[in-house]
Amino acid sequence: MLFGHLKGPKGIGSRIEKSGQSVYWTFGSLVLRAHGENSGQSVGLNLIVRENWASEPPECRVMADFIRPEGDWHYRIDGTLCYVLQREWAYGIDKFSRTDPSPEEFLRFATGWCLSAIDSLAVRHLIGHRLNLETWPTEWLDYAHGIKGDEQFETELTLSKRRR
Amino acid sequence: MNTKIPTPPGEAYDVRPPNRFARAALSDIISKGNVGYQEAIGSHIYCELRPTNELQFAEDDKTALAYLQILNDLTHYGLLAAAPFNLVLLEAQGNVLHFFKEGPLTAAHVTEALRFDFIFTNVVYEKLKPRMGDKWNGFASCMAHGGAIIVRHGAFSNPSSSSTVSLGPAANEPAKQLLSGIARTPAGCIDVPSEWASFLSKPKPLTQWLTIPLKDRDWMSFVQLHLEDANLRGTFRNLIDRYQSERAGFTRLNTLSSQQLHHPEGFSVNAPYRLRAFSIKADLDGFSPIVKEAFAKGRDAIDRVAVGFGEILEFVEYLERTVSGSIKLPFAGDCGTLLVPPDATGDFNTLKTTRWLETAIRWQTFAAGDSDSQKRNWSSIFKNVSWAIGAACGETTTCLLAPIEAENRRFLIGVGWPVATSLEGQNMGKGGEILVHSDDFQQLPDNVKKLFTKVTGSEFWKACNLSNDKLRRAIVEGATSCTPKSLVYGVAGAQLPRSRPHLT
Repeated sequence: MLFGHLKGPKGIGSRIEKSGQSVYWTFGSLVLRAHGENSGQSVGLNLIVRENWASEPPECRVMADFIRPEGDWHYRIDGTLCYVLQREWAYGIDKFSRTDPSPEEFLRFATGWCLSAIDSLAVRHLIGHRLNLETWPTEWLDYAHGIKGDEQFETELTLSKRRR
Repeated sequence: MNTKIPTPPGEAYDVRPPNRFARAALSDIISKGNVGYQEAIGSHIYCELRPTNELQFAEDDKTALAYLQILNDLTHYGLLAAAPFNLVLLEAQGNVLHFFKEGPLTAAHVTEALRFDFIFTNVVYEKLKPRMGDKWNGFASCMAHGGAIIVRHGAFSNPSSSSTVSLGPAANEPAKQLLSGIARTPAGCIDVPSEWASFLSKPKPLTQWLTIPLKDRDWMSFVQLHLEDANLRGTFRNLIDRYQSERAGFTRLNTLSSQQLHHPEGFSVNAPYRLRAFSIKADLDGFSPIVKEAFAKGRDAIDRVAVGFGEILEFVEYLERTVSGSIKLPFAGDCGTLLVPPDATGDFNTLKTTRWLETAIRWQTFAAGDSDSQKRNWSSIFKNVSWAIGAACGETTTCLLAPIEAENRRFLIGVGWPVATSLEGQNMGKGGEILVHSDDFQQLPDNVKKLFTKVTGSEFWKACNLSNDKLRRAIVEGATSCTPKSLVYGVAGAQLPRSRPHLT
């Protein structure tokens, strides 16, 4: 389903990792549309999906000259993007699964979330490039690094449950 | 000495030695291309060819090329008609030509200027009207006499600098009368100041302008008495025929780099240059009263205004150098034009939808924030003037550029929908305002759109006193929402979780 959203030239395939785990990969280009972007700008995208994708979000690498390879801009040293917090992903996927979706709806939901989050982060990189922003704007909410980020998520989740 | 210095991103430009911008002989400014200014007393004659919107707002290359050819011929006809009467061409602004005849106001001076216009008008009606067919909307002229500052700035080899600019009421008023307002000069006529009625043996009208219908039978006796000269007309017709047999047609379209525009071998009248770009037109608001006051005060005040205007021209040249890929068209009075491609490579696939707006804001703020601007103190020198800006690009339309070569000079002219539409917007604006056509407004990010309001009864949107900070804030805030649009990725009926990255 991820493959279907990408533009050519694109590819898809699978391999077995040393751990014996099956890994699925796809690459292609993604036209950016988040935050009202309408310039037709696209980025090269490389996604790796593991069998435990319901708890671990797909690994994502974005190729574009405007991507800033900096931690503050949610770019890991191995070239992957931290487009979604693992804890939030696992919680959200689990929550959706409880609504009893069909397998197709379930996949469509996960795909939509994954791509829209990547799209959003890439567009913010693009804006940073266009405006020559030196730092990630405080207006753009993000989670802190590591355990602090998880704690932030848990705290906000608890607060929102209380409000309900 | 030219020095190359590195400039971002991957561009290089010439750093010229400081221009000696001072008084210079008028003949040197006009025909030798000397930089400088001079006060001059004489008549300013503006002539306007009026095509229909279809031609002026040409949306395809074929129409734009036909229009360029017509403008090329118009300029040459004008120059041929001007020569016997000692008129010089100061500016070629596409369909508007600005001629100047030096000398005090006498009956002979007025008659000579009118005879020029009579001959020119007749040849335009004879040669261009049939060619333009249903795209013809007339031809008219307006003239006034008085003192003006004639200014030239920039390298003569640069076709965008071959025009000279005139500052002063004698140059402004006829341009206004001819080009704008509801009582503008009618087609087939020339407007002259009503005080000139005595030179023409006519009663003085109550209005500011006396309209002489050059094609009207009722005025034929006047025309025959004052303006007709069969011998001159015959000679002139021969000159026109010779020009037409020798001139070459536009044969091809080039896609040259902007730097080639400044090198004659890469760019000629037979090979126009096509580019997709925003046309940004900026008119200096509040400058005319300053010029008028300077004329009342005398020589020192005039020097100050001329040098100040030279600095303004310098600033716009700075803008051209620092906005990669941009091309400056010659100033028309105190109105400048910059063609700004979407990005430095001119590739619309990486369209940067706000680049034109950032340039317009830099223009309005005299590039406040740039170190060069701070060094030159532009923002504070020009605090009493502001720019009214019109901008347009269109979804598919292009600009065509060609240098009209005449009398060893090259007048760069630009035609096409973006150029004509941006002028329309600029004419509607006031100082501090940026007007953009609806087609281009629609391409702006949603939050940036909120900075604009619709101009009632027009196709334009307007923003007032924009700053780069306001623009940046709007763009950043526009990307603040974390809630993605589900339908973009085909997730109907389910709300996608927010997009919120985490730090590594």
